[in-house]
Amino acid sequence: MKTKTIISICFLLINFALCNSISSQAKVQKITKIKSIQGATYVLEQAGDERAYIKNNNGVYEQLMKERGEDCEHIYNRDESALALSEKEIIKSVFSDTRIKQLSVSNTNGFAVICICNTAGEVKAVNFLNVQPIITLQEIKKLEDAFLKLKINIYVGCSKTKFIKYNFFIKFNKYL
Amino acid sequence: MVVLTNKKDKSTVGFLMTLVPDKAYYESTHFDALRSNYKQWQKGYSGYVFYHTLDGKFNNGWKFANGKVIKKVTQTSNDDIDIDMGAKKKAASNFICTTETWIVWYQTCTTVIYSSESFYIDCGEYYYGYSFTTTNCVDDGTGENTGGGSSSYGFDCAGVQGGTAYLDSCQVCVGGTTGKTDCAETVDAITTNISADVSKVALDKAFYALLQKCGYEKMYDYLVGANDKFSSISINPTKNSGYNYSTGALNFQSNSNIYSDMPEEFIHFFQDHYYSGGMANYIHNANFEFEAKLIQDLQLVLSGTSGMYYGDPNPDSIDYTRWLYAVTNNGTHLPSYQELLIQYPVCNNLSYWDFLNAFSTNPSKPSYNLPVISNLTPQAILFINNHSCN
Repeated sequence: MKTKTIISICFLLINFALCNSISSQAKVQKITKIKSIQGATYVLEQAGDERAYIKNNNGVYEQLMKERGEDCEHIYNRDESALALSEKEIIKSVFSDTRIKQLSVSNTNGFAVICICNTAGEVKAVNFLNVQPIITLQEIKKLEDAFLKLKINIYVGCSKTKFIKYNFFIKFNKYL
Repeated sequence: MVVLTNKKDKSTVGFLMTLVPDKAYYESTHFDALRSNYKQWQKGYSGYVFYHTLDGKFNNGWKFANGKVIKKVTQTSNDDIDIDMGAKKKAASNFICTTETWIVWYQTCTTVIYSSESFYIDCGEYYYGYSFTTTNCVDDGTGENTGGGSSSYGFDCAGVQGGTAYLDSCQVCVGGTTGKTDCAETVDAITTNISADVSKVALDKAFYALLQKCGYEKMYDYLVGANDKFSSISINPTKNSGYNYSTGALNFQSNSNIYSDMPEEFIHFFQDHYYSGGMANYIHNANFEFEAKLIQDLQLVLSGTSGMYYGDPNPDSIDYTRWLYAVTNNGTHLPSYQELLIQYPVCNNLSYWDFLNAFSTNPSKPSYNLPVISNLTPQAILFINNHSCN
């Protein structure tokens, strides 16, 4: 009788621990949507929060990442102020002043633009990270088109590097 | 026209100030020159400011970018005025100069007022005012300073008449009333010996850029306060850039690499003087390397500027980028060590030690395939976090 009681208590304790451990695990729901606009198709991934990772479905980004060569560390932007100005011009070409004001209030934390550039600094592919739903896909398309015209005055000190990842952080209150 | 009145003796000085904004700045801001006042430039002003005497003679000028002076403008036309701006001069062979002719036009406007709330402005055609030629000289980065001095006439780069401020080798207006220190002194305070083959200009610029960010500035202050200095800074084309903790020497592979490689080597120098017993007290490990890259990445995200993320152990994935944004609360907050340990679902529940371990086994960077010391916390990050860089 005593042994049975001990076994029962142990069973209950183990069961409780297991249940407790299962219930405390974070459950992440990842949603993938495919949307098309003006001839371009985008993949929107949302994992666990409301901010999305958006990439063009043309496969260029992935292809260039495969072909990128050596991951170089000897890289810098030769003209930071010129690039900051270009970034501002891109934002202003896509968003009106009123829209920027609206987004600076509702989207203060901004989002990231991940560009793939060749060693001449020409942007060849663009992805977007941490995008809130308030940014429309049409605006994303315009941003992508504008970034693809950008050339960064970049120094790459590695001969085996073909493409690099270059990140922009779009915070709308920077452009007011 | 600007009229300055000395409050003490009531004397006045008058001169003409002309603003010529850059095209891009003009278009992006719908620039209104009247919104800028003497020494109170419109936010982010980019373009030229020229000063002329009241009889129309060119005095001097300055090129601004994003609200800061970046170049001086001098006159080189035949009717040259013999002025000495006194800004640091360099050998002519170290400058790339372009000459431009400026034509200033005037327009006469009449304001017709009907009442306190009703008026209109009637402007006539533009008519010729005056012209002048200027030369812009840009340092090509290969030269050295040949001297200094102060202005005895005209306006210094801070806009003070007869002031002593000048552009240093980082093209920053220093001295005089600016309260800023020449960037050459910044390097000297932390270095014992600089070899002759090192471009001092490149070194000055790299340090200047570095110290614009809070984390680096705090590390620099700590090192200067403790009188810790690089034993030497030199160039060795046969070796990758690196800090040697055995000798305290800093080597760059080339002068071109100074700007890109300085942040990481500076952090290693700090680690060597901040970690108990220095880097020599530990086996060669991936912790120091990853921490140095993570600091650079965090500083980049926090400053909101564009760039590379050096600590990313797997560029094919976006987990590391997502993590940087998560731990900094989207670029607004420098994380504590405890916050680096939070497992965020958006980056597959990975945290500091996961990324460090992945970094130490990254096949594309074999030079960093080093042991991880499992109880060695990132103390340089903690230092920055404890010194008000949030």
